[in-house]
Amino acid sequence: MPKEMHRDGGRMKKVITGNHAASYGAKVCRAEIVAAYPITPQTDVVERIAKFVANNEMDAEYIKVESEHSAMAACIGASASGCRAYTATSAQGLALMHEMLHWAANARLPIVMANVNRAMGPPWTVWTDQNDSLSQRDTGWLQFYCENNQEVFDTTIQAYKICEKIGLPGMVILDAFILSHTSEPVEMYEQDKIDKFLPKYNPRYKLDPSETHAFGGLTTPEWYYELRYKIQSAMDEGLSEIESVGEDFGKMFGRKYGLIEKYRCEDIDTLLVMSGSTASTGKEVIDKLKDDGERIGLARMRVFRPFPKQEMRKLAEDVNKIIVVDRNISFGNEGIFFSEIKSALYNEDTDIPVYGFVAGLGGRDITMKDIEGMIKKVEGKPKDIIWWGLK
Amino acid sequence: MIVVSSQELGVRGNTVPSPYLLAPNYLDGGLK
Repeated sequence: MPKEMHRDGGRMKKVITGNHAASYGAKVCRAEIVAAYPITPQTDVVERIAKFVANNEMDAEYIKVESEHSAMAACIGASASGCRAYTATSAQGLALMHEMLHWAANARLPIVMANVNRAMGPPWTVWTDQNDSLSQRDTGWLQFYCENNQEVFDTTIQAYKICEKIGLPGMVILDAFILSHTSEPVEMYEQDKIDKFLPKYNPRYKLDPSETHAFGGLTTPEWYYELRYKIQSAMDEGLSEIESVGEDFGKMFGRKYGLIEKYRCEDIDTLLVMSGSTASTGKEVIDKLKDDGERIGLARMRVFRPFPKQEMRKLAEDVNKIIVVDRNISFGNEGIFFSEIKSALYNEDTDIPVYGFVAGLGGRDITMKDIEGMIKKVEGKPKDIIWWGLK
Repeated sequence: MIVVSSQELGVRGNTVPSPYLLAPNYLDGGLK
């Protein structure tokens, strides 16, 4: 039995960090090209992949590049030629990729990357918040926010399947240190089963000297508009694809995934909305408050792009208030999940109050006490966003 | 914008220093 492997009731588990869950995800998906540049706290995602490649455990080409911009450029070339491409980054590194993120999505290339959520500097910081990935929300990438290391591994596998079906790239997002450097048991699956779930990438069109096509040429106003519509349509298709792939994954591997995880949302009047690892703390709070007789449940936003508007509207039908906790801020406006949730509910036949909290920027802890305090704080008509625990 | 201060939450607070006073190099020099 390989090192790190443990049997648990016939299931094979590894005790690994969130970063290594991402590395193993790329490995079992048989990524063929990996191009990356190191940045804290992402570095050991790609260090581990480099080791897999060096030890012949992974049949891939590892391209060392001089920047994240080049990393994404290399992935774009690889994906355009029909290879399964992978990269990982964080914060300023993701920001440096920005131009190429648009390129990857607009060229309809199903590249998958891990982004370790790290706050943007200056002042220099390495701790978590969501501003790096949420700043890229309009680039055309799918965005999955993971709660734990198992989900990082599972979502990487699903992301390739979804992205290759709809022809868009996808970002698997995990919180810096809380997941990236914390070890948890992660169930591994038999490679044969993964290969069956995720067959080799075989795009209809690719860069191939034996069958020539032109890609990305000058497009006049006569057609550019339609090409953008097709991306929006692919995002719409992504909503159902994420659900059906999550369902199939559940049947095959025992864990089902969807757009929004509903935690104890039966017979509630208050809905707490969170994302990422913070949702785990939120679940503890829900358990405690339920024991005290409160009618509250939690919605964990697993998918941010495409935004699951319909599911949010359905959840809103049965409650009389919604509390959104954002570990991010759109300067000059408000928390980004808060904005998008309100936008999804506007024009609907509802006028329930939606309260927005900003908390935990730059990795400050969001404790059970904080979340309980937020829940107790809200009353009346929401006036403005609330900054929680400011010094 | 509404603020709930850390003092209000019972956390022993201090004033926030200017961002220019938060030394950018107090971390290990190897960190990018």
